[in-house]
Amino acid sequence: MSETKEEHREYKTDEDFDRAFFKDIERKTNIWQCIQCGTCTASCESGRWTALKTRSIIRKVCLGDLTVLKDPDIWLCTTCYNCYERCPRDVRPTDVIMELRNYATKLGNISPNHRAVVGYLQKFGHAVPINDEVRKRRVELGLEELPPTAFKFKQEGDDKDLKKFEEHLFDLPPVEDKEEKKEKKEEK
Amino acid sequence: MTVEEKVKKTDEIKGEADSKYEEEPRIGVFVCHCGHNIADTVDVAKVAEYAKNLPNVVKAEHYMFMCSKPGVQMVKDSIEELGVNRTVVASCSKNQHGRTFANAISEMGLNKHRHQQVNIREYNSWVHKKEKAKATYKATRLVEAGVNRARKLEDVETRRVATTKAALVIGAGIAGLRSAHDLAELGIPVYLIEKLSTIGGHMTQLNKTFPTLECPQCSISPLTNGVANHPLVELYTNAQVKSVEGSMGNFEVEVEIKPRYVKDNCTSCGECAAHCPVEVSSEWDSGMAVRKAIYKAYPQAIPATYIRDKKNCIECNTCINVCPVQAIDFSMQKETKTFKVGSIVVAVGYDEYNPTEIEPYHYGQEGYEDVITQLKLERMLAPGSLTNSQLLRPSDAKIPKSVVIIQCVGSRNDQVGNVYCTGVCCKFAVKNARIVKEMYPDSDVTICYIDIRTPGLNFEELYKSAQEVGVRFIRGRPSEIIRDPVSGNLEVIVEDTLSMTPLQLKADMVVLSAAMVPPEGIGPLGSKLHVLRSKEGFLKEFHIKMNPTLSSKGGIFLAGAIQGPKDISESVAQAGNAAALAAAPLVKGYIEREMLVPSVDFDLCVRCGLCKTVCAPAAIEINDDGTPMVNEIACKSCGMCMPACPTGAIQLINFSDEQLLDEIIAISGGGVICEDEL
Repeated sequence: MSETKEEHREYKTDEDFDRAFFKDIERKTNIWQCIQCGTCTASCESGRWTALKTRSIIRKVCLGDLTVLKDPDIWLCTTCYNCYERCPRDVRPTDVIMELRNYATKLGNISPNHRAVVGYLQKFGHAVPINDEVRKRRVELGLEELPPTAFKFKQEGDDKDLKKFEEHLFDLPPVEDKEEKKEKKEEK
Repeated sequence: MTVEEKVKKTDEIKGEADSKYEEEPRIGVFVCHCGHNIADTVDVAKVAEYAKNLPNVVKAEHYMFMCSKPGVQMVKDSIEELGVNRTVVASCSKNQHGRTFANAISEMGLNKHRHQQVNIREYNSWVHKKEKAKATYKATRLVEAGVNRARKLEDVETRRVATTKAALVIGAGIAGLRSAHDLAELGIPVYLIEKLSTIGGHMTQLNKTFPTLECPQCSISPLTNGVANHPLVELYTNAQVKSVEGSMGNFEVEVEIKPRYVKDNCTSCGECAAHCPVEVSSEWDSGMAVRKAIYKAYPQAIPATYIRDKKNCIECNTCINVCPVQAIDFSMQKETKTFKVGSIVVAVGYDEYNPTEIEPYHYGQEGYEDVITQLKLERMLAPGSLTNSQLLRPSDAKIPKSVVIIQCVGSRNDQVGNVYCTGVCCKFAVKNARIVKEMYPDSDVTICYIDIRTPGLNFEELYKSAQEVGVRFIRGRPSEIIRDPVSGNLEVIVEDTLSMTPLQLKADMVVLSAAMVPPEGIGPLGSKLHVLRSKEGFLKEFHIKMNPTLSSKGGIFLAGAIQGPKDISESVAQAGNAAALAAAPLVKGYIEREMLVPSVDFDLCVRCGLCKTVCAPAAIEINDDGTPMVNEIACKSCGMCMPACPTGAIQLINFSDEQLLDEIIAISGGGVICEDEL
């Protein structure tokens, strides 16, 4: 990364930006009236601990800077809506970030962690799948071992509509295999 | 006055001085605690006790709050009960409460100037909090000095001076017009003089006014017509102030009126201009249009009489021959008129900053014709312009696909000597950006700014509306405008500081939001009026908060951008205030003046004239025989003449050498007790 940054020391020109790209976001939110006051960054629960700087993400969208779609920081938002509540110009930063994630996902830039969660959902019908520990506790508490969800009604999941829903919902880039990742690293 | 008379007068003054001190001074001293402010640091009881033993002191007290009603009553009672004829209050500064006690003793029949205020708070307790003993000692010194001074205080009379019921307004822009109109409506005859050939000023040059995008010509024409036709207003265009004499209430102003070479019977038919063969760049259009050598600045111009530009005229006499009413007369001469007025309102406005000085922007250079200023943009977009109100590049008359507006050109810039923020540029830049973007939605309009400053009602809304139509805001001051030597295209180099991205923006046209600067010729005018200027060159107000309309000289008031950059609404507001303040002494018919002025001992005077040279308000005139004469109305009682005088012939009442020396002796420890005893 650092090498490419060095190469990009030159001035950016109008060609480096695509102001029309985010027209959709402009229509859904009030991003045009952002005054870059920084209330969003200051309100950000996640940004206090991570690299997420909401204001600079909004700024990139205003400029039409498409590099924001490759920015891993947009996945650090917890969607707590603090910024959304406090924004003096009603820019709706949380909505902007969610829209950005949609764009990024379409481009294959989904964060591995989020992709993994979707994988669980696909596999088990749960974002957080049940494990042996939970099964044991359920029995101890006098509950059924499995909750009345996709775990229990696996067969009924063959329903056509559900399949179709699945196809659309999970039309995402494949989960990166851990071994593949390792190989990539070694190649580097 | 003959020499004998002068000597006689001197003797009288000396005689008076001797007799003044005949009455035995009976001094009352009052030391204030000011709550904890003074009493926590200074031993007030000790100070009062010390004061009791000073010569001529008949009463010395200390009290919690001297400025309270019982405190003031103590002072009054001492006059009634003990026959106190001079009072000393040791408390806060003279500015704070000096007047309170002076008024109190005047209610009891004593002259106001018999009160002496001693400052033991700001000068003492507040600055010596940790050195209580020393602070107490200092308080005793200051009080003793006050007593010494009080002993020789003289009565100062208050005199009424009749005023001339007429006013002069210099400059007929929006501020001058407003002032002239308001003064005339108050029944005061007004002489309104304007340097240019038409009235209305910068406002008539604008395309639209913010925040409502109104047509300025429509807004101002009732006022221009109203003033031009007002029976109490005498309007002189092409006129400039030549000299100003006199002072508050009674000025004598000499005005030079340049000839128009067209008589008043001109019907404004325009035949002369239509036939004139000379075409030059029009100043009124900021160079965005041409005019003839005989011309009218713009169709609605008032006065409507044409004017001949003598410099560019080739004297072909065509206009003389075509004029149907024989109004053109090349033999007209300049004339000088003298007006007697009571008040003067200065409303000479501003100039747009000339950005040629800022080298990296290349304004006015060859190849950079598409770099223009906001005023030029206004002239281009205004109705009836050379481009037919379209935005066209000066270089090739094409509609620009990208317009970059640069803020703070000549403002907030120490390099060019303008530290101040003009405060108006953000508003007009946002307005013009919005207008351009609405006219050409396909063009990119970008504003490069340091800070967007749009305070006040309706202005943030204006900013927002520009954002809404799609104006791009880049926070960063462009470092330079570069030109491709082959294609001739311009590019603006700027950092978007919000995303820390250095940018190189294409700009078919660059508009510089140039600052408002003091108008050309303000230096000579300022010195003719004897008013002070701020370091930026604008005329200085009396007090930035409490009296921003009065100049440094009584009777001369400031209206509009001459006091500092202002928009139209602010100028109008200040102009109304200037008219009210200027009218007050004229309506009343007189002004009251405390004669706190210097007197001259003609025996001692060596006729060197030094006092005149140091007198800032120009209150000292030199008579034919070389002796000074003090204008008691113009005098500001500053005392500058006293140290300048080599023989001590000029002495300011109550600030004479003798009185000050007594005070100094006490302060420097010539008193009864020494520090060790405390």
